[in-house]
Amino acid sequence: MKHLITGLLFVLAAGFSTAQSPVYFNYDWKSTPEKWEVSDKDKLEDEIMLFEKRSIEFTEYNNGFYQMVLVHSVELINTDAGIERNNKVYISNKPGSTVLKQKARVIKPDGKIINLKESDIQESKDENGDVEYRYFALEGLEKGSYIEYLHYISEEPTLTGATMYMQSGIDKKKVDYDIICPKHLEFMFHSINGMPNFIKDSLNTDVNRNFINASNIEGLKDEESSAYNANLMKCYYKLQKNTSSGKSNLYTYLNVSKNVHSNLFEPVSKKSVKKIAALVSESALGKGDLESKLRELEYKLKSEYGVTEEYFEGISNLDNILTKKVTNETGMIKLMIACLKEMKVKFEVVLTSDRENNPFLTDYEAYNFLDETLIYISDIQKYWAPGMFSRIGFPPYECTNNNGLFIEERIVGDQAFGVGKVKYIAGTKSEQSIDEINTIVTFDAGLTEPTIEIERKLSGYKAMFPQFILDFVQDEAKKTELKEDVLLYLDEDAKLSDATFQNDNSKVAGKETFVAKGKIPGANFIEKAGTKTLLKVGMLIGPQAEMYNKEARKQPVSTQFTRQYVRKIIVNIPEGVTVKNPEVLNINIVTNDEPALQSGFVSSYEMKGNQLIVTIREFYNKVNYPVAEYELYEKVINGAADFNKLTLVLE
Amino acid sequence: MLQLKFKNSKRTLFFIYFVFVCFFSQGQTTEILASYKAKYPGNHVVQTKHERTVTIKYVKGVPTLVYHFEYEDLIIDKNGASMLSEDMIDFSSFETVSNIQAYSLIPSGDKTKKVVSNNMFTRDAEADRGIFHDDSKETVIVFPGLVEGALRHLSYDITMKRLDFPFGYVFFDYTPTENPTLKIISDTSIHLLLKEYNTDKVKLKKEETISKNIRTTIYSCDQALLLKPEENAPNIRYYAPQILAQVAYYNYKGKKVNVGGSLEDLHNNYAPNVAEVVNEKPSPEITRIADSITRGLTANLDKVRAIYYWVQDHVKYIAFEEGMGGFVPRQPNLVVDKRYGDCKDMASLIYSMLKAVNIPSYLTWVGSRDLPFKYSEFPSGMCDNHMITTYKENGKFYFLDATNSFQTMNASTGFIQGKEALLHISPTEYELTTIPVRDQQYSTVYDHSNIRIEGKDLVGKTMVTIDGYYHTLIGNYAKDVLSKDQNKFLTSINQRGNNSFVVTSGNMKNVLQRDTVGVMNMDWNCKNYCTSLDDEIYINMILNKNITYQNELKETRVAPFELDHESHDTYVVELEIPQNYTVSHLPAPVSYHSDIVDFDVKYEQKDSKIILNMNVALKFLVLDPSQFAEWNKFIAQKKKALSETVELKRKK
Repeated sequence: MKHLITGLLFVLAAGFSTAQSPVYFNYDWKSTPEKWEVSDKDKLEDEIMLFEKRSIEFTEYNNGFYQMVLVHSVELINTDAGIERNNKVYISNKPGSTVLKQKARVIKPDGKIINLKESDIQESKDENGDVEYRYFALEGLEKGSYIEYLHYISEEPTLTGATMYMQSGIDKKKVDYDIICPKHLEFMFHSINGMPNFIKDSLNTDVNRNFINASNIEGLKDEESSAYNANLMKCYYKLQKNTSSGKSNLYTYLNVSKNVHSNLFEPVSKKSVKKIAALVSESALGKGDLESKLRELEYKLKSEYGVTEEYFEGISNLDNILTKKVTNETGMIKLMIACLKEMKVKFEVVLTSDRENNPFLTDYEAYNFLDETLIYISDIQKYWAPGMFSRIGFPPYECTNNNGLFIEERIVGDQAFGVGKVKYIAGTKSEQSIDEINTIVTFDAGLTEPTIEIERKLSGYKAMFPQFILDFVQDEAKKTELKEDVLLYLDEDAKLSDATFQNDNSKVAGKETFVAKGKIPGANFIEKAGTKTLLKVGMLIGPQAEMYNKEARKQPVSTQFTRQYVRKIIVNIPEGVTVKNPEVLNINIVTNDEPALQSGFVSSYEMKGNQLIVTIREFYNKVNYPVAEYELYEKVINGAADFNKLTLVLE
Repeated sequence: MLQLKFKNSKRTLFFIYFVFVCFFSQGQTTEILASYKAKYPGNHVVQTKHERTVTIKYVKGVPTLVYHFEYEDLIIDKNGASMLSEDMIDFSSFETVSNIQAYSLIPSGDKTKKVVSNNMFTRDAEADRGIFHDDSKETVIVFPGLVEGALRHLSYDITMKRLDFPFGYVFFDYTPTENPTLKIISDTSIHLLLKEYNTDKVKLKKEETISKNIRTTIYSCDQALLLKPEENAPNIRYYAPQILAQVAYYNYKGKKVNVGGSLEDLHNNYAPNVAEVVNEKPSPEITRIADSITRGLTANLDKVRAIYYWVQDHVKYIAFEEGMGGFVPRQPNLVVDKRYGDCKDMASLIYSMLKAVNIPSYLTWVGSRDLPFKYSEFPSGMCDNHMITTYKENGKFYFLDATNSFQTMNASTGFIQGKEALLHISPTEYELTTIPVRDQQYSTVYDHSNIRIEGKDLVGKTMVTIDGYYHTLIGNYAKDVLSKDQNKFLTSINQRGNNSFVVTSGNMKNVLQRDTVGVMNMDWNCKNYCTSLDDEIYINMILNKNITYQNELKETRVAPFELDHESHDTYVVELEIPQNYTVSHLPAPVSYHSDIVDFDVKYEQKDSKIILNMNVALKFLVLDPSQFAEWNKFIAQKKKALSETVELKRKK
């Protein structure tokens, strides 16, 4: 959504032209590499960052205003894996940037230095001949080598909100970071996840320099069900003040709301008014309620209009969209807005972020958090997203359970403008995304190969795959195979018969439940012990992951959306046969009694005539669990895994 | 090393782009569309034209190859439009693309409008998987405004700069393709080496006409064989109908010029690629290293081993394939300093280091098992994509391939087993030999566990001994495992019981030593594995549920089934009978023996223990569909064995 909100950059940053050269313009490494202290512990890792210097300097340079990016690092490589991860280097190149210096050298354990030759740096060019990224292989790398790398690049400045990450997957021994700007500018910093704050360098009066010197930053290892990128130590920064123009409090959501309004609420031309009216007419959308009309409209827009990630002139211009039927997500939003206005539906535009990488902060305003766009329809309390793989009420889950900037159109007199407010984007309820499996086990006379009737019902986000993605599969046989996999989830090798499917298309996605039914032979669920038959009843809930974590959990649990798994197993017990251990089926791990967790695994059984009926409910009513709740969360997950291993003895 | 490929247009699933110019053209009737829909239900697209014309004519006295491609696709439903909205022509520095014509005939009311795709651009193509840098490019063509019923046209020429490169055509596809056609037009003085593979599957027709010294040969069939990708299968080219061809020789002004009609020609073409490496004197650095690592060794074989393993340990795989760089190995003197290279760079370094200690060896071209083609059947660049060094002693060949950093010298790398190897003896001499396939006795696992029951859980102590390709595989993983992660690693590769299996303490011996037998020792536990009642315990003693990763092979499967290597696995599980319990049921033995599989399961009670012995030997690399029934019989026996449980009863 960048092109929605930029525009005023240079005006805001410009000030006095000072002729001094950028601070690190002549920065270089020492020709004799520095000696770094390395402990025995450091040698136990694949690689260790011994030193990392980074600077971003906003400055007048070469008749323009740029950010000069310096990176200088020294890394120790201890293992083959470390070598393989580091011997191929890719550096992406932003449009409009110029590489002023780029060098690398390998310092071998015996002190021999191998410099990267400039001619060995390859460039990958796009269709305009612009360099997309530069890449090279490092020569002479062996265990115990140091890699020293340095680049200095001038780039288009990012003033509206950017991020500097301090933490990565590897340990860093010493880091020096600078953010520098001319004296008349001031930046605002906001560090999170334990990153130290930038400190103003009071000794430097030539420029406004802010810095961090830190040491021993432990690498963050990825953990299952964690929002890894969101949890890294990082600092957000943006231009806050220009003393020469007297402007301050720059890049606030007030500006965004205005810009977004003027960009997205485009007046519809005469030529297009008719087409929009036709799109939303009763003959096109039917006579249903608002939600069903919007559903029809969404299906039309998403099946008849193409959405591309490329950018070209006029791509998000309404007239163009309506004739060429191709646009990008911004154009799709504009089209959705134009339709909603024509229908006189009340709505708000919501700008937000991907919470798995970059959760929307409420105590710091910058444009970092405005990359995703949704529309909120207040009358039906549902979110609507422009992407092809989402449906009304089920926007991309990473945007939900997050805050967002809600922008509403206000009209005063003949003046229309946007007003914004930060609000919470609630996620869907767990009962909206259910994975339900109902099985009926009927034994043969010999108790060796029962028949298993399976019914699997998927709703909401859980039905994404069979309802959205399968629409795009070319081959009908392959499509059927993929749908059958929904049933073969219980036993991938089974021979499926009598398979039927309902609601298996994107037209009903988000509204109707996908239903698959079929029959499989159950030999794989049976074990024999002499005269006794063991029914692996646990396997009838489908494979369950076991969480096993010996190391202390470091990151909160972050899951996609709230959800439920509902299972019902009916075992028809043949005459004269008894189930010897039905009591194992009663599992009650965590229930609503644990209000904080709001998650649980509960199973129970009853005997009705010759039927053993098992009901299971596993539910996750919230998406995030702090580290303190991790153990309980693991218990619930493992409750399902335990049930999965249950066996009934029949005789 | 660079693999020669046929040109095929790549289909991508991108969405629609933009910009068009309108004309009008002949009508596309709705009846035609309806008939295609009826004929190909469930498909989004039908290729109504798929033609390649190869023209070989003299340019300045030398035959020149021009390939003309002509494709037409009919979009028979909405999804087809987004599938075809973008196409790509990829090409290497040996090829130039010209005369691209791209347009669509789009139904509009009862007329059809012609929309020309004038939006195309060329960019650097992403290198193929595993290649760090190459010079391939791609021209992307965008087809705007496609809808159901539209007919998409794409045609272009590719001029090939190398006369000795093969060309060909495949008569199979993943989408329905009507009347696929290969046309070869050449001067009658130009002679081809041509071979058909599996063409009986499509009833290929051949027509040949000669007019004014121009020979036109047309190969075509009604429908391309419709295939789909299948798992654990050899490359589709093993069983797909196709034609390979290349210029064998030509007579120009009374003189016969050989190009690629025989293995000798191929070797003559290849020899210059390795001349520089063969002639280079080992640098002082190469000599220094070779001397230092072979010091004290007397037998040549030991020296070869030391050098081979040094290169495996010190040179990392990074592939550059730029122009002839895809075929010409780098100078070993450079490789030794860079410490990286691709297969041929590693081969050239091994060759040079051996030369430094006066041991002769041979640079060798070979194809990976992906390539079905044989030098002895169709000597061409289609047969290889790899280079190794071969050392010969007492008539025995040692195939040295450092791209696998843990391969022992007593076998070739697994992915070239059974392939023909072309040894470069001298600029005028070569030798062709077949790399042996290692049988099941080479790759063995011996997995011995002592287990006891604690409540519903199992507690075990296991020793796993690995040899052959198993050792190579696990050694490759294990070398990257940090000591603190060892238990996690052992847990992940020794899964058994159920998914709660976890190694609590373990160690590895010789796993990182080549030419030994690797051993993994571990103490472990596994929760909720047993079913226990008041006075009974049920335990399934086959802890490894994945004896074979493939279960039944479906009758509908077209592709053969392929293994990485043959193998022989032995499992012994000794269960300590809990005190006060007796054995009330022991499963019966299961045994299945055939040409492809040996399988035995046997239980016995010995003192206070129950001992399970299980053997599985897989004695094939590739199973043809005709053998699937036999495989499935084995699977039935395997499942039967897996479903049998031991019953223990408390003593009264």
